[in-house]
Amino acid sequence: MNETRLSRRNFLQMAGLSAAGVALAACAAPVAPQEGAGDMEGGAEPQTVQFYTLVWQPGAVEAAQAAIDGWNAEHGSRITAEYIQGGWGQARDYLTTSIAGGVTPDIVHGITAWANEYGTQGGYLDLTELINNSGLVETTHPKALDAAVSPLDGKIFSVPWCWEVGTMYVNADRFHEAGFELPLDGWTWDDFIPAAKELTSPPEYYGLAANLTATQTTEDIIAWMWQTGAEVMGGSGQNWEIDVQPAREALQLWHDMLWVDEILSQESFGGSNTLEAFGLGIYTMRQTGCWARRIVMEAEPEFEWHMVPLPHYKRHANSSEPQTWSVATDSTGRGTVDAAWEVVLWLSNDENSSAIAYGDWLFPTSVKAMEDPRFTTTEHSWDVALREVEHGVGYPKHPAWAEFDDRLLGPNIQKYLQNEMTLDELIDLLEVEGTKILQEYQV
Amino acid sequence: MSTKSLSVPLPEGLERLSRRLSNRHITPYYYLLPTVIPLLLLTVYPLLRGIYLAFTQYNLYNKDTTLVGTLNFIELTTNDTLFWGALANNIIWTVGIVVITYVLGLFTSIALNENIPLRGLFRGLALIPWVCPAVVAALTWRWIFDPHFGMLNYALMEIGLIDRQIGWLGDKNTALAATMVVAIWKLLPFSVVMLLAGLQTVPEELYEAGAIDGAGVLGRFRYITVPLLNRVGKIAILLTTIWAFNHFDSVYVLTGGGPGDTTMLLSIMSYLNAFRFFKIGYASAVGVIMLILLLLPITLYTRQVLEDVE
Repeated sequence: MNETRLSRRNFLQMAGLSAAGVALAACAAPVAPQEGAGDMEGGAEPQTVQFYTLVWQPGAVEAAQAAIDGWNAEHGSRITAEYIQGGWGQARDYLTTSIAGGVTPDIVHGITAWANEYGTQGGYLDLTELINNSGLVETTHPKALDAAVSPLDGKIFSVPWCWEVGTMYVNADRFHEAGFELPLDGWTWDDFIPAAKELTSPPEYYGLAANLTATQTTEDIIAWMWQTGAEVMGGSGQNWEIDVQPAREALQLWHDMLWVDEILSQESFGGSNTLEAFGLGIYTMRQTGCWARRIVMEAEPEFEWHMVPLPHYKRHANSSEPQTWSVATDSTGRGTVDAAWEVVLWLSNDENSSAIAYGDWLFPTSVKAMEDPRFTTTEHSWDVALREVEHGVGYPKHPAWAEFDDRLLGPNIQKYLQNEMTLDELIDLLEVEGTKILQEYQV
Repeated sequence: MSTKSLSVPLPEGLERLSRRLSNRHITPYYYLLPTVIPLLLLTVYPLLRGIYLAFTQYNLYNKDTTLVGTLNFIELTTNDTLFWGALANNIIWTVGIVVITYVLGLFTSIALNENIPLRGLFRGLALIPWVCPAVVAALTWRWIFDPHFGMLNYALMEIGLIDRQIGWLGDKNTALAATMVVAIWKLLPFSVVMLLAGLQTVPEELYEAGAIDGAGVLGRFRYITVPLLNRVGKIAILLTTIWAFNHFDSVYVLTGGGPGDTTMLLSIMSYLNAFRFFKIGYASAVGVIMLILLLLPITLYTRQVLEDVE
């Protein structure tokens, strides 16, 4: 073997190139964490569980932080829960990129529709067995639990712990002045339309506020479509279909409210703060979730306001999506699944779920917790909202829903409402193109 | 100076490699590595990866990188109900913004080049949109356009130009124009700065000579200012074209592509497919089409810059 001199310069050049090669290789192939890498062994550091939450109203944030503090005080030496504050506006982007990057927090706050979407695609763990063995099946309201079951495969990817109901906020003074009774026990479309016409006086004020922007149109109209009996997207297993034909009446009603009766103002398309406008008396009614009571109260309207049920038609339905805790599949790699589940159970117990839900002006899903006098009182219309819980309907739990809604349903309802297409064209488009999207996902 | 050496025996192959690496013609390239490596990692690799993914049906969950040929492109151009509308919007949007930004930028820069009182202050104010973060600007503009509480409706009603509030961002007739206003407001300072810099390189003597030869204000503008701004103007137009065509943030914040698909741009379409529907391959195909459409301005810009360097 020859003995060769390796100059310092050459040595450094080769070392530099090797380092660059290693850097490139590192970028090309991310290394997955080792199974059980985070497991605590006797006397070792406590495991850390990340808790990503979307609670935002001050009372809810305080209650969620108190629940985490309580956990850490009692169990912190074994499992430490780390509070991560998220926001509803950015949550989808955050979760999508986190799941893709393999860095999803262990416990993720969301709604049943998202949990099913991420779960069926592998981002969240199937919690069916854990839930069945935890006693949650017995204590959770069956309707909330049903909403968490994926109709595709019967799996449960989330623990429903709180929910809201879609309601109508009304200017009670204006109702009284016009001689209408407040429909505290419910009303129908036939009651609603004459009242809304009477309580409209454009351009001073309009009967109903709506937010018909790109991201909100479906949210405002979907309950009315369900009230006609339409499922919009319904089915189970691999047999799903687009079912919008019956919703014609709801769509026609909204079109007429805009262009015939002027119950809705054309500013509805402009994305204004309609709750604030309701508080200023620009609208007589505003439909939204029961969460919004604090906002309306803080606006200090110069009139008496009340929360009443949404008017119903062939079916009594309001938009109600349970909020959930899920456990990310990424926790498996970190060895934190068991620890995360323990924290989920802690957050879902009656005391904590009630405190957080109450702080968010929502209901817990535990049947026992719902009997708490805080949720049955007539103050702030809790009793009205509680009665509506039974009529809550959630978004279809199919992974194609997001694309169907964002690409087809919302934008094309907007086009119809702005007279860019007829109702027949809208229905045809939703059925034909919607079926294509469904088929793509089913394949 | 003697070279420090380590007495390490090397196999013959490594010795040859070592000699090659020490070649004086190659050595200078090593000094480029600190620049080239980040460029390769952060620009070239994602670009090539994106192009590759455009020919797959990769989504965030299946991570399937099997090549499917031009399937995504065929689907986009033949079956996608949004694509052609979004492309048309992109063209209207880009042409409108580039033309208006250039014309406004030209007149603003001429004004700011004159000896007007408080010129420094006005030059500073002209830059404000540029330094304002895009999302902050979009949110502020959303308030300005708000039908009930917005300043625009209030002002127009006060002076009697409109008699009822208009939902600027929600009306199919005004939404695209309203979003363009925001983009123009944001891009205008760039044109102003570029053209102002260009104007300051025009020798004053040329204007004096023109005046002596009988050229009026318009004549001097037409025969002195415009030709001498040609080079810097071209760069400003090309860069504005690229930025306008790729624009995403303010439109997404203001309208999300609505109402209907009135303000749907290719960039928003790509985002929705990638991050709402998780179809990375399909979204990449939209990106590749945008890249192809931008190749012409990019090539022209690069050529112009290289010419300037030479």
